[in-house]
Amino acid sequence: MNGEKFSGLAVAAAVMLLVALPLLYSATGNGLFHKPPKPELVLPVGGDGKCVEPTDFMRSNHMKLLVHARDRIVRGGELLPKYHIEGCKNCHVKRAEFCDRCHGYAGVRPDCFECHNLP
Amino acid sequence: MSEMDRRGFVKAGLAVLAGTALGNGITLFQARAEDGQDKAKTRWGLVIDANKCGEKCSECVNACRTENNVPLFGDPRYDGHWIRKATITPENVEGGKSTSLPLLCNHCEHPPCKHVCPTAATFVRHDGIVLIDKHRCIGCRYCMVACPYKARTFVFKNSEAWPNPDVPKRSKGVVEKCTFCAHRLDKGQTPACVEACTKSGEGAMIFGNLNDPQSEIHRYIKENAPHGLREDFGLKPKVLYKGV
Amino acid sequence: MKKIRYVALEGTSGGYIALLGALGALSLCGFWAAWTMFQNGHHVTGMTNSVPWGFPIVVAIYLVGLSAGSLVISALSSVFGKDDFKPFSRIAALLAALLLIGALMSIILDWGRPERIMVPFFHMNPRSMFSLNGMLYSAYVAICFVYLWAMFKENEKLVKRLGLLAVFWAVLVHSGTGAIFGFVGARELYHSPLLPPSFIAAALSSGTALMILVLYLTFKWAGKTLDENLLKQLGGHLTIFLVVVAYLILVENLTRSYWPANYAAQDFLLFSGNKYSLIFWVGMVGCGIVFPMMILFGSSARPLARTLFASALVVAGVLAERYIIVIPGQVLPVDIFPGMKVVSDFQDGVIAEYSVSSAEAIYGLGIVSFVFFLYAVALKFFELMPETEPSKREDA
Repeated sequence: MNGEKFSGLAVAAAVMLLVALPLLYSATGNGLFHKPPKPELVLPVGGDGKCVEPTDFMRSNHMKLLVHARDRIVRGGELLPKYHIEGCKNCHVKRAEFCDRCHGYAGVRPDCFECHNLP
Repeated sequence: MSEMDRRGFVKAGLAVLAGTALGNGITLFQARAEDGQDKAKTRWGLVIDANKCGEKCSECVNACRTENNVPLFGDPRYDGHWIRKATITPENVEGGKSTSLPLLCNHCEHPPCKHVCPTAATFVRHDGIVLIDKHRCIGCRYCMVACPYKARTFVFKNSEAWPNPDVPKRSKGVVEKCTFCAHRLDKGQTPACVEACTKSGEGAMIFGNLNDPQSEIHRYIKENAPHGLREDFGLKPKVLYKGV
Repeated sequence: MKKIRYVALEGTSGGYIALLGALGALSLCGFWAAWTMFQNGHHVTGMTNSVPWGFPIVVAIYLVGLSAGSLVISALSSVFGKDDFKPFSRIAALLAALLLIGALMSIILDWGRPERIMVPFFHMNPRSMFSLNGMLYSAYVAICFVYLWAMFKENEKLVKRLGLLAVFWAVLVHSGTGAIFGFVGARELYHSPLLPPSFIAAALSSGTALMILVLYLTFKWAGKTLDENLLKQLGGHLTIFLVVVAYLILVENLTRSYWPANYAAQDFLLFSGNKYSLIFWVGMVGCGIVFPMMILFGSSARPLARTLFASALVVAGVLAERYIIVIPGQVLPVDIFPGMKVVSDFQDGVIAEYSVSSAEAIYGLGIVSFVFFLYAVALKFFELMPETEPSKREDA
């Protein structure tokens, strides 16, 4: 009985440790482990230097705008040049110096560019 | 948060999560496209006059490949085909007259590919075009089995060629087919194949709005009574053939 | 009636560990094949634009079929009142659920974009047989597990009700699977109202046959005694199912052959002497129906060996039947221009080529191994086996 209890506790502890590790990692990421350098973004040229929405908003929400516009453009057949992904390249001329750097920093791998050409 | 208040944004986020359309009160985008009124009345259709289609000509096929980045791997098992040339000969007579014609998605009114698609990735647009939402396609290939015109191809591997960078290509694992060049129609142009056919002087393709009594295609159908392929299936194809 | 006590397998013998290791290794090979398909695209399979469905779909519908037979055997005691079969009811219900999980895996890993697994949960098309089957399959797995749980709780009333529900649901699942093919009007060899019932019949025959083999091997390797009369009785059920399968296949093919428009297709399937007619006659008709019937009816000597051999033949024969359902219908070109000879760059009017690639074969084997791996693991951790007097063999 005691042995059973012990092994149950051990399993529970192991599971909790496994769950906690990534949390610990991210919580202490600012010093304990390696801290990746902030990405250097080459800011867009062209246009009037302003994105379709304020920078702060775009930084955290561009993917939602794109996904939502996508459904309306593809399925609804609407013309939404303002939020069309193909419109991004009008200003952000080099994907490698803008999109990719930040995506790499955040560790996300969107599959947009498998089909959409943002050079 | 400028154009959108915080609450609206939460709603928008939820709506995106749930995959539904935004509510009316949210002004993320300008009102629905201005010309929404007659859009619903449009029914794009294509008439192909096989008598005028040259046996050696494949301008439509080439134009489509260049416009839509249809992949060509040099392996007939995997090549993409949005439009292809076929030659048909009657079986019952010796040396019967053969006819050359292009085959493409027939954009049926009752598309079996749409009926079988488990995720509703295949859908009919407001103007009657049968489209694949490749963001939603899971690559189960049921539509390819269900299509009686063999109009669909699967992307068996990634293609590197990107002749027209302004138009998306496909990544592997989804199904693709003719879109009637929906992106060109939205810009007020005709499909690439039709443009190429007219330019080459064959003039075998007439494209237009089937619902518009003033259109050339409407007049042509009235005078020449072209018919769809395998109309016995009852799918009501919107690509019609004359001289088949 | 004597109350049956169920026990878990000891699962410490070398044979058991070796079996787990072998099944686990084969499953890993299968997952590796699936990963290869995902990484490289489907050109590593034998599928082409003319034959978009290949061996993974064959395996999937094969496993769906096997699942139903298992469930019916489980329900023999709980629903149909045959208490003699009660010792098998837990094993059979578990296997029914696991086989269906295998079928679902085989379908999903075969998608071009399996990483979009969540899409069908958010967007569905109720008219699609795939969508409906997705719901039917997952509900079926859930029902099987709840049914199993009720058996563990020894709640006879609940077991009976859930067993009834599960049998009813199995009929839905198999009709739905048949409808995936039968409802497709574009392909001559698919379009048939008989496919759903024929699917149920083949499911019952193959499932019963598989259960006979699995029960025999499980009890033998676990060193437990098994009432051989029960297996022979199951063999009797098998003959009835085989007769029904034979009847439905006969009707379907006679109907098609009678109408001249189908002469070419039927000639291709039945008399052309290519690999499909070979699989049809030798695999599906021979192994799946005729030989097992001859063996079961032929004589009464060594009934257990006859039952086992016939079952093995049926299990193989129904795989051939599934192959015949899926592949020839796609290999035959769609008839866009009736009465015309068509030539094009896209194999219009040409009988397409298809052969199972090594990646597909490993994939199928891996999925089946994974199902039995889970089964073997479950035997060790849950009280599934009836407690019997140990037999002489102790090599569990």
